[in-house]
Amino acid sequence: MAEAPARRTGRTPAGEAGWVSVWPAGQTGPAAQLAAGGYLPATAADATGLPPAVAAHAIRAYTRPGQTVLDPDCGAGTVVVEAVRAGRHATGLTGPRWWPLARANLTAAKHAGAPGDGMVLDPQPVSGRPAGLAAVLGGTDLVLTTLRPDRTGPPRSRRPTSPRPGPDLAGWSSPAVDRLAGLLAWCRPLLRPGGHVVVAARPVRRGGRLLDLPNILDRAAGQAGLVPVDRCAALTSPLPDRRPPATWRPAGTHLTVYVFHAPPHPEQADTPALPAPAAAPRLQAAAQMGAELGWAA
Amino acid sequence: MTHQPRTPAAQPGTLRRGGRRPPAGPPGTVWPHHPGGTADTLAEIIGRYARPGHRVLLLPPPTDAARPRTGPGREPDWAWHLAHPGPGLARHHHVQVRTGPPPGPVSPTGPAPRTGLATARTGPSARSRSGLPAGTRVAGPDPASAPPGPPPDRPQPGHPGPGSPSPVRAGLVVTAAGPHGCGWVPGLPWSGLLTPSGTLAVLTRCHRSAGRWVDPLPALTAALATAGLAWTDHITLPDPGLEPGPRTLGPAGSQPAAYAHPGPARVDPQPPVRHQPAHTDLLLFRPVRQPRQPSQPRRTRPTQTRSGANG
Repeated sequence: MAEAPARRTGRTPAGEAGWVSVWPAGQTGPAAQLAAGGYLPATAADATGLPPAVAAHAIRAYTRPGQTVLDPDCGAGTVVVEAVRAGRHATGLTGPRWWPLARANLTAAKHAGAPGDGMVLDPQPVSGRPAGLAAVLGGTDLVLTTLRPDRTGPPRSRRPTSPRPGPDLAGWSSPAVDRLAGLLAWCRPLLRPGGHVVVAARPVRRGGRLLDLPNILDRAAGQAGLVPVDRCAALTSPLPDRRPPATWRPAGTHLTVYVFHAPPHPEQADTPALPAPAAAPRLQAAAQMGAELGWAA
Repeated sequence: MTHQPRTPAAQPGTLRRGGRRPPAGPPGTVWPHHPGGTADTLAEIIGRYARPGHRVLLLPPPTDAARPRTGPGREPDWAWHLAHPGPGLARHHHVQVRTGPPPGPVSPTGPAPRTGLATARTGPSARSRSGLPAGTRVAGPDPASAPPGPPPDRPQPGHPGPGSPSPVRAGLVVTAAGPHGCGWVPGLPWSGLLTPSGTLAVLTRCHRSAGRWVDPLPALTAALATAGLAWTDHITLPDPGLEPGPRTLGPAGSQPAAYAHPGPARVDPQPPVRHQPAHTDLLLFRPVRQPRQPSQPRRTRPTQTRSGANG
């Protein structure tokens, strides 16, 4: 007999009245969200990126104005843009494919009056300079990202197949899953005590089986010293109005949002949030450092 | 045997309960609350994941009814509805309800009702006692009169344990596992309860009380993977009362009903906030198809050699 399942618990503050685990972040479609946010049209090509409404909800829920947000895989930059629009400071890491577009989206947001400061970096030079990485990203209040499925892999069958025997899905290895699991350990030193890690993920299937992301993240969070505190459903399509029973039908899609908390270390005082959004000396210094190192900011 | 998925998009031509065809389109992972109530949502689950004529086993959790009720919405009582199915559920399927027996000394070799499914009641009395129509086979003690069972964190004697006989396999098993009482899940022989192409539907949800947050999802998926089941789908069932409006989007009045881009002057509440659980997770599992045993070495027909001897 298998041993009794361990419960996933976390000591958390009391729930805020009115904030519920269902985020209707899809009341308007992705195209309308991007248009309303002033994004460049090419942003729609980043199909696996975090929708702006989901990013905006998470940023409002887990940070205050003046705090810092990091997306280590920001793609076209929706997290960075939503953060600076909400008065937070943001850093996004992305590869050469999306970096020009993410930076253009950030520039457009700043031009439109977004009060926060932001920058988009290429992670390649960052990863080669750990000291510089900590200087730029240290003290992050929120790491917000999404699972981007591998572009390469076995061909997908049009027809879902019955589940085939395979390894424990919690140990399912793929570059995307390994990257996401490693992300929690990677970002832990960058988090300010009391900060949060939020991962929003679409369902990922292989061979008729659903990726057991809850266990993958649970295990990685435990090893990184992060505590799960929330699991929400971010709707990416409208929650329909009341329908008569005859026309009811299952509809809609969602992202599962996993939230982890970095408990304050006993001997580590929680430093206050950055002032402003108008003044961001640390980020300005970081941007200057990045420019000196040859990073685009 | 071919295993055909039963999601509406995968089988657009499959007749659903009541003879209606499912709408075309991508499979939805969010089911809005059914206007007919929780009982109709349960009927929808059965209609979508059990074929007509399939045997359906409803397995209420042992003592989930004692779970404290919190949360902002009208939280559906899945345990009660599993124990008290409406008459519409049995219209197209053989629905059975399995609940815990009355407390008392339980003998491993006790009478048949201890193991549940061996006894069946039929006839008009079944309707009055269980809500099922006449002719529906109802196994085990009457759920309406079943007292709460023993503590939830150990396998219940009324549930089919590893040593219990499982005379009938079901095409669909529906159960609910609350955050405070899912310890019985690893103790059940799930693969033995299901047909090889059957489906296990588990209704579960997070819970937050007095600052303590509990999420049974990782434990459930791990336990059922150990039991030989594969996780095939995850569907969100928002609680009733969650309509598009300020309440679902954040603190009252902080945001309009439809998504609107947050302006720079927006006043936020004091984060970090903790979201109150307001949805049920519907998890679907199916038995893992076992690989074929290595076949016996094929008998080779004796080669007929033409003998050149002419005798």
